[in-house]
Amino acid sequence: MFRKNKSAMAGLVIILVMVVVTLCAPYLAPNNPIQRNLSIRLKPGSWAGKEYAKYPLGTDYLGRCLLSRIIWGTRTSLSVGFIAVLISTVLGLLLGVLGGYFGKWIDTFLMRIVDVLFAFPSILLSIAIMAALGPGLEKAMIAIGIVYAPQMARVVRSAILVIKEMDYIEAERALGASHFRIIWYHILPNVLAPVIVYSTLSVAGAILDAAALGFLGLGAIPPTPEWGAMLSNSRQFLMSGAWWAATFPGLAIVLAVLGLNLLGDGLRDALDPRLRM
Amino acid sequence: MYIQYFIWFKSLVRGDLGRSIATHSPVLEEIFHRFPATLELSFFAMIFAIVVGTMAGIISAIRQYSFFDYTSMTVALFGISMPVFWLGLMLMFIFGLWLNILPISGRIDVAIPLKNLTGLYLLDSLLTMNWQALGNSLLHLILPGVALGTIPMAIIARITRSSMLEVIRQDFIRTERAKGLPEKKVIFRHALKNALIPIVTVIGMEFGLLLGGAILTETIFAWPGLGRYTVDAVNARDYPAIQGSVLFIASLFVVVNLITDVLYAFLNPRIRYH
Repeated sequence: MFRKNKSAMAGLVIILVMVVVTLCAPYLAPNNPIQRNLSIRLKPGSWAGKEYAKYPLGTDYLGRCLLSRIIWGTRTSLSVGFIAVLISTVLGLLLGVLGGYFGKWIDTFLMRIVDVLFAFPSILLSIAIMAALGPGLEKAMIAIGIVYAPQMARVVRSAILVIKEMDYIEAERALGASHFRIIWYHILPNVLAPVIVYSTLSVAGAILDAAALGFLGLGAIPPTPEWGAMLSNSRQFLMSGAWWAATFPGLAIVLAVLGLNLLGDGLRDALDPRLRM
Repeated sequence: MYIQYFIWFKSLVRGDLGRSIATHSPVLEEIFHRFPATLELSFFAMIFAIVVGTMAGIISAIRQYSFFDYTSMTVALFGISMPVFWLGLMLMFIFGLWLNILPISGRIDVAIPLKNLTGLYLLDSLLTMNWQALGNSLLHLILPGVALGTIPMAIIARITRSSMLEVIRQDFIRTERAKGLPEKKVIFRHALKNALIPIVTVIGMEFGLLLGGAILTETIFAWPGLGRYTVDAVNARDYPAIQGSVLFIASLFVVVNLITDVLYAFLNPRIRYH
């Protein structure tokens, strides 16, 4: 069923290509991504004529190769996205399992924490956390991980509330299984489907948020190539006509997020039709 | 440290958010000074998103699998995958620089006089019947408003389509059609009314996205609102200002969520909180 879904397959292909680009960045990039050359700053790419072919997508405001920076930036953005979501998945599973399985005051307490986190628009919360932690990629991962955890916790919790009441869990309990055994062997495998679906869609959101943080100067520390920061650096030169420096990093973000959204939608239809929006 | 927090909280209850380190003026005053700009921008963006989004969603649902359906859903898919700041930059480049038909920064031309009553420039110019200012501030609103409204629009269009498709297939719609009601009435009076609940939920949720997006949009378009204030405060490490604006935006978000919840009960009497 999943294979017949054309858009999901398209998403999968986009993501696989991006992963390959991430792994092979040193071999794929035509130039050094951090080497400056001010004599060739803001030069157009190969569309402007043969003499520009050395830098296929042109150069940025410090004369660095735009294509190479985008290729290396794939590594930055994808790793921020995946690690941030990994953090949020672990946190969310922890909160969701504890709350959903044990219920009572633990549930009430944890869900109030989740409610508080929900009171902030996601980008605002990550900006606030970053303001406290200071700039840096690792800190951006942590901030975004925390921001995406509450949603994950709710997804897990609502799945567990249903599973917990099923007969086979009751049977397991009657056999004298420990809480740990029930959770690890019988509940977790069954909440995996919504967790996978939601994580995939979260990576898309996390990449967007990471780019936004980079754009605001709160993400990667220069000269690390990062799509959001590249956009923000090229902003002021857009008005002098150097459109390529801002256009291509943005297109890279769109492509990555689009791929993940398509893949996530496809996974949702295949694994967990009830979640369909 | 908890004593510090207690002191901060005590003055918060009195409505005192402290003074900004950068400008030495009270944070609350600065927030209120900038809030109308954000309000105007978000309001414009939300109207754009709701009108275009629901219309596109309804037409796509009625003509499922048509050319219009495919195009608008493709546009919507790109819409939800786009970073708002990139869209803003591209709009700026295309309409501001290349075609040179729309202003790209600020709320109004400096040369145009406008009496400040509410801080909402559109309302101010209407009240003082200053048509020149009205036109000019409206022009300034278009690019940031469209940039900010596009993502919520895409989400609203998708949800409207799927919600309408679900309702249209139900029996009572067939009954209405069999009764010979005009199609327009069936769609707008009966189908839309029942499809509205998920749409309202999403609109409420999108408001948070909108407030977040406003932070980025205002930075790009030099819009003197709350979002830009927050970013400037973060960059200047102006902690009282950061705390104040984050708190203010979050409270705003909570109020909007509350309004959404109340709207539910109004739209569907079956939903009530226990």
